[in-house]
Amino acid sequence: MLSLMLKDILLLKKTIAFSALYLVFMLFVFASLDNAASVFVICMVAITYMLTVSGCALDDKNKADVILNSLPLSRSVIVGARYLMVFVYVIFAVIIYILATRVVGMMHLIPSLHPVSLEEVLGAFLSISFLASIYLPLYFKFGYIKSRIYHFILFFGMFFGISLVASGIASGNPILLGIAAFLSRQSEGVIGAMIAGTALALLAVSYGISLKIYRNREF
Amino acid sequence: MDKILQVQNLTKTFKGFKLDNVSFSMEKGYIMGFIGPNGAGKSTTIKLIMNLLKKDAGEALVFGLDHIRHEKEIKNRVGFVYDENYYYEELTPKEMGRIIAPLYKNWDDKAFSHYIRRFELPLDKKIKDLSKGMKMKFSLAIALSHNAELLIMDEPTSGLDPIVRNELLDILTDISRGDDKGVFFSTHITSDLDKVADCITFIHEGRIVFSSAKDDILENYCLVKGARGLVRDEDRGNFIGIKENQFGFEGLAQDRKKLRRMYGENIVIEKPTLEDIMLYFTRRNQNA
Repeated sequence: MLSLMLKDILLLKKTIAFSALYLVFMLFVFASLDNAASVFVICMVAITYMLTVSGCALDDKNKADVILNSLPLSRSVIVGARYLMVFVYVIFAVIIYILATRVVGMMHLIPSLHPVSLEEVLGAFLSISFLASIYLPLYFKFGYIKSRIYHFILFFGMFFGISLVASGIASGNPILLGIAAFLSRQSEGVIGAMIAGTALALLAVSYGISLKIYRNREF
Repeated sequence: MDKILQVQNLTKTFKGFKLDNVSFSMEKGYIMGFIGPNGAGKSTTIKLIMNLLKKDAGEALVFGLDHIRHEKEIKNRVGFVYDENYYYEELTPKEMGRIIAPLYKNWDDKAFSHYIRRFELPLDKKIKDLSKGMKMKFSLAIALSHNAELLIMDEPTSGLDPIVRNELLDILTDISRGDDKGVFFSTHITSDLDKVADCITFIHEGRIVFSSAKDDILENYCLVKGARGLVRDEDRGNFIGIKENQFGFEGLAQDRKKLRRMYGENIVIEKPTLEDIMLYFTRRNQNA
């Protein structure tokens, strides 16, 4: 499992470095925005999702399934590593963001830095879990090239969905307002646990589906 | 003797092609050549053994173990080389070695370094920048660095220059000298097998034509040459395959005594090469 994760890190080292630079650049963008929190979540999701999809693309390009399935690796490990990398990328993005805010803060380059909060991290984690939970089974079923169309629909559909929910709440949609009211009555800890639980449940179900698909794949 | 590889009635159907009840076996300490024309079913058989394809029926035992139930254990003891590079082109041999090493129980860093040096592989050059021969050698270095007891190779020599091919064949001969190891080697370049193989399995149109010791095969078949018109149409059944031109005929047959009785000194009987045998068997089916 660790070998496969190391493989993705080595393959994506340039993309990872670029993502880190992108995050630092976004710090400057956040500083001038009113809704920095939601931009932070979108930024985290974009980076994590981009890294996940890039890892899949390189596996597909190299027809890596032939080698991976010829090595002493079970298919559950191959699929599992792809899901675990989602966590690794989220943790990586958060650490880079925190480090960057510290360094930029010490240098006094930006007067008001947007500090990252646990809710935002959980929000980003839930969003990326949602995207990855839908994308990865499609990738394991069709491969990267054929699943590209779903990937675009999903990625842009997600942002469309978020704005749809926001406008739904603003226009007084009773269901969405009900959910918002329910959440507002909960403590931060409960909300955090609910978000993390939902994200993990999504990933667990998605992993089960991906594994079933991948076990029947031929190379 | 211990069987290192046993394939029994392996069957797989695709649209337009069927691997049909393929059976053969191989003992330890041997190099088995798996020959057949392109599209005969060689890669399909290898992919089925490696569980890259799902079989419809039949079984494959490697080291006496079921290839699916004991997949991980088997793959720990098998080294593989495929016809094209499937290693990550963006990585270097050094990085790829780092990734693969922990996956094998018996990975031997010293052996890996030894083969990297022997094959003069640049450790820090990206795999995509290596020549085809270098890529094949890298696959071989990986396959030989975890004390594999069985090497499964799918057309490893295709597209290689004669020098690299000969080097590979020398290595295979070295490996098979150990009594507990074996090499299963598919190719359509039969001259490679003339040099190194102990036994041959011939597959054509998804079916095994024969599987036995190379010397027995070369002994059992004979290449017959004679004047044009000597073989009457009704006697063509004595030949596995026959071709005729304006100068005479040449055919592959099995019963040399019978042919000698029939044609006396009007024919010349020679020992065939594996290529002759493959060619005439293939032609027979085409003419059928």
